[in-house]
Amino acid sequence: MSEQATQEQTDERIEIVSFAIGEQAFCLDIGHVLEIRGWTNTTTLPHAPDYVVGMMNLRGAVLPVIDLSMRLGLGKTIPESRHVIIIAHIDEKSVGFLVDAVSNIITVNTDEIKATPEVSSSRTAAFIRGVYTLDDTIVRAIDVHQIMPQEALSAA
Amino acid sequence: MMSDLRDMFFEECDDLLEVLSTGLEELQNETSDAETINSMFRSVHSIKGGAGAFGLDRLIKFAHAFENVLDDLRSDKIEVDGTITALMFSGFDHLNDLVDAARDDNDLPDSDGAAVLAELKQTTQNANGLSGDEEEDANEVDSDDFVVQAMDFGLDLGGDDDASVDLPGLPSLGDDAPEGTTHFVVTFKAEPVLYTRGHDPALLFRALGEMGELTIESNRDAVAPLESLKDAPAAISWTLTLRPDDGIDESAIREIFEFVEGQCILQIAEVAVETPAEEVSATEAEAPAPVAEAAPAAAPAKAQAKTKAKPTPAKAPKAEKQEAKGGDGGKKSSEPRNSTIRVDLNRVDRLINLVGELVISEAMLRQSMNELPVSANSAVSEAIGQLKTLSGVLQESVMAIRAQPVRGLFQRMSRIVRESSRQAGKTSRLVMVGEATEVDKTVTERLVEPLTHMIRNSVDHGLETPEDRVAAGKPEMGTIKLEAAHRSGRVVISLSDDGAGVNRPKVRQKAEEKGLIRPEDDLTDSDIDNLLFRAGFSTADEISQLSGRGVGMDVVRSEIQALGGRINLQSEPNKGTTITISLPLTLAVMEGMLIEVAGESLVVPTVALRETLQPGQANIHDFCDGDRGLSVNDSMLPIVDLGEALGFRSPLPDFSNQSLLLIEGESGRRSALAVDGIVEQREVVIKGLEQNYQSIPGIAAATILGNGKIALIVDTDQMIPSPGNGNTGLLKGSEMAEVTSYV
Repeated sequence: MSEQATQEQTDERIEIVSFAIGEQAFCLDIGHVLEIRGWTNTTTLPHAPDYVVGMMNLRGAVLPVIDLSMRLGLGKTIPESRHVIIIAHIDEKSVGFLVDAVSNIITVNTDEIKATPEVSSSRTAAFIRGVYTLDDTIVRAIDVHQIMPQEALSAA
Repeated sequence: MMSDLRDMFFEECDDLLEVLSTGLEELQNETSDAETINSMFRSVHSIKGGAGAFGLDRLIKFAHAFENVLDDLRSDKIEVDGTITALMFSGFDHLNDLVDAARDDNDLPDSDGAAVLAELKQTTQNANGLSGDEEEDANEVDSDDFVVQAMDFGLDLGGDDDASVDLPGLPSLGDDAPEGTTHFVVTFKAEPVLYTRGHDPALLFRALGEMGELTIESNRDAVAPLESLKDAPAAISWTLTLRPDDGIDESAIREIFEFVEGQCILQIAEVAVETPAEEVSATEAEAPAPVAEAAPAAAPAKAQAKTKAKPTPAKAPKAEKQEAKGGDGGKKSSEPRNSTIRVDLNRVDRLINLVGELVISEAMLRQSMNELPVSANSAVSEAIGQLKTLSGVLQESVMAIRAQPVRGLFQRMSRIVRESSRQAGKTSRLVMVGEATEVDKTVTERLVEPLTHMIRNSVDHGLETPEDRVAAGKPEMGTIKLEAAHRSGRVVISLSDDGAGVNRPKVRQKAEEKGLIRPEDDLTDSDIDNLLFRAGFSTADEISQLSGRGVGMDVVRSEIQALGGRINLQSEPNKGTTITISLPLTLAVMEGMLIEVAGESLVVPTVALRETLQPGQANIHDFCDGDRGLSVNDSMLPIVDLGEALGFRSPLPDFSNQSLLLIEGESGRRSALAVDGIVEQREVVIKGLEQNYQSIPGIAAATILGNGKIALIVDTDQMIPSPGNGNTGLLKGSEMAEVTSYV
């Protein structure tokens, strides 16, 4: 019962954008999302990590597009016109996330989030903040700060 | 609010200190005239005034002592000589320190500037036999004593007009006379503050003269006789009679004087008349002359007196210099005083960014127009042509907003020269050329550090000791010359000294000791000179206070490169050393060559580009490990396959179908870039990659092409193999892949 009480105190409703990569559902806090666009061609970057698809032109701004599937270890996406880019603003930087499809905007309580199962994959631990259970689906909440390209391991 | 005012005060201080510094230079070069000292006095006075408003006591006290010396100078109680000039320079430096300290809310140690302050005070006392305070008070009383004396004059004129009442054209005159038949009689007497704020009555009168026929009479009754003339800058009053052109009314006249409102005694009377014929002709004959007369009269009375006392020699070089500066041969106070506004730099940058977008959109529009069928309306293409021109001009104008003369930067350097000479026990002076050259504000800001370092180096390593100089038959005082100029779309700043030049045997020996080169390496003189830019290089036998910490010129070079610039050193034994920095005019646009590699469009900066070779033209030779060289003239250049270097593809079996771009890096080293094709040369807007991503090896920035696609700009310096290890600045593609495939 005491758990119930704390829940009411910390009860905060937020909106999340849920999207699909393959068969899995993921989500981002809507506060990070600037806009959602169809796939546009990108410019390949030399010496970039494999999950960085390239740079895109968003009305004059140059920003990197990240293949979320590749980043999460779910295999490389071969981008086509049906794919979607979520433009997000994270840590003062703008970035595009390449995903299969955007599903929905859902209002959730912040305390509905459940801990990520203690799995062995370091990627799961690093990139997934937790999961929401919506109806029958498990929606994985992405840790946007971790998912950003980490500065220049390659520069060494 | 208060902090806004405070910020504004300090910004003004910068301007005022700049004026002061310019004046000091003129004093030193003996190109000064009475107005020089006046403007210096005004600057210090304004700083004192502002400091008073913010209760900056120490600054007030110092500015006051400084101002008194300047006052004695302009009243000829003190002669300008080397000692005074030196004192003024020290005073200026300390004033600078005080302003900086006040800005940052720091307290300077009490001992700082105490000597200068004492010396300034002593100078005043010697000159006057009384304390500075008394004199100041006396001045103020003087200027407050004035009364308006010019009123009668205007009324007399009105009286004269009565005589012409019976002339034709009069019948239409009612109480409200039409404008064509009225005169305005303006009496104008400036308060001292009008001059200290830098206004010039002559300019006001000139503006008034454009509204019709103007006669000017000056009333000099209040000017004290020359012997007893003291600080009385506002002794002259004027009566101006204007026969206005159509449509000029009183409010138009008031508008002219709007900027000096409260700083003068102004009366405008409308007098209905018909001008007698003979007066018209007299007016016409006189018209040009009074304006000319008004100009010298407009200078504070003191200036007049001094000009008389000290005629041509001082004046002539001054006029010459001004012509050289801005084509304005007039006297100092009539130098164009452009009205300015202070704008937050962020707003300017936003504007610049937006215009950049506009230019890109325009290019995109033009490109898609070209892809339309020929039937496309010609009016549209004409309009698009216009749009192109306009957006080009717009971009240029917007860029110009950020441009600033390098004067301020140079003047800061003059202090560095003084200080480092003192520390190094050398005597030297700084000669500045082309201070009016305008450069992007960011560039000037970011040049401060490298230039400081370079100047310290020049004084410390470049110039010889006074004894050595005399022994070598050179003047004891060394000369450091700082020069700025626009040259083929770039800004070139050069720093030269007349010292001993680079000691090449010593440099070479040092470089060998440090393992930078091998003893058997065959290096040209310029190769050796450029060793100075290598990291960790320092030739000073002892580490001096000034330089020689071994973080010298390589840091300078990387700073300059970060600005998209090139740096080059030339030296001649016993004649001196010249370091030349060449910088892009703006950081936002650059010239580039659009090329294609492995299906990607890339841009190679034209700055680095020396030559292009079409397929088949090149003389390519194979070496070990797939290395290839290109023989050009007598030398052999390494060939870098751009596609491989950037990891776009595996090494090509042969380069026979490749175009080659000969590039030259900052160090003067060259290599040839092999690319699939050369598209065209064009101007590109630079988009940083770090903003949203991170820096990429081999890539300097990105740009957006006309079709909206992004093209990466190649960092040519990283494409040039460094001597010795044979690697490009980059890892080879394969090595790189290993490193990057991990998170």
